[in-house]
Amino acid sequence: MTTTTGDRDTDLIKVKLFGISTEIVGKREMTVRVPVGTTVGNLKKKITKMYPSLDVVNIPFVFAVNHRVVSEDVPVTHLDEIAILPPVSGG
Amino acid sequence: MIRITDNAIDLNKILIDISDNSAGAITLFVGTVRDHNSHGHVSALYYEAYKKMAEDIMAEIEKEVLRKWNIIKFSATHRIGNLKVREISVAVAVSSEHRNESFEACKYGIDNIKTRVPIWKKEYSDASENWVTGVSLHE
Repeated sequence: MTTTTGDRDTDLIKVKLFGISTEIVGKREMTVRVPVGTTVGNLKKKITKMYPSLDVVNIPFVFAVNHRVVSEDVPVTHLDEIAILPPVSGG
Repeated sequence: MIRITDNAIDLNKILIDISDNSAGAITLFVGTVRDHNSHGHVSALYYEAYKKMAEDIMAEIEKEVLRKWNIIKFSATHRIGNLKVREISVAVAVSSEHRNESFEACKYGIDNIKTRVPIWKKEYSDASENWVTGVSLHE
């Protein structure tokens, strides 16, 4: 959802959580308000600021956007499906 | 054939699915829950998947296998949820005319499932529970 707060456009982005990140944050999905046109890298900075323990345990997590792992310069909006993916351990 | 399931994995069904009149070999890899890790006893495992993405990546791996080797059918099934010791967590099966192709393709399948598919496991012991830190995903 895009809203205008004062003169600044913001976007409310949902982020799915898996594995250890679910336990650190305490839920399976979080919402983060970011400036419109934000990137995965900025989203990551904001989330680690909101949940410093994600950073403390130093989990090398990556982001998936629409089911693909992407680099931090990729822009995201509320229309994208975004997920935090800790290191995988299937098998 | 790709599947992520909450139910027990039926190996007989997989072998029937993978069989083919032109196949002279079937290789089946079965991953099971071990009662220990490098730190000690493990009593159970819990598996969680990002299901849609996991199925997409497993389908990609299937395509790669079919492109790289002259095989007939490929099957990969991963279970999620709570599993006890000895239960089957993953099964990869390949049928081919001759055995070498199916051995190699099956190894490629399970190796890539373990390192590329968004599935996570938590180990339970009598005293603790820990998410297993595995492999970081890449673009």
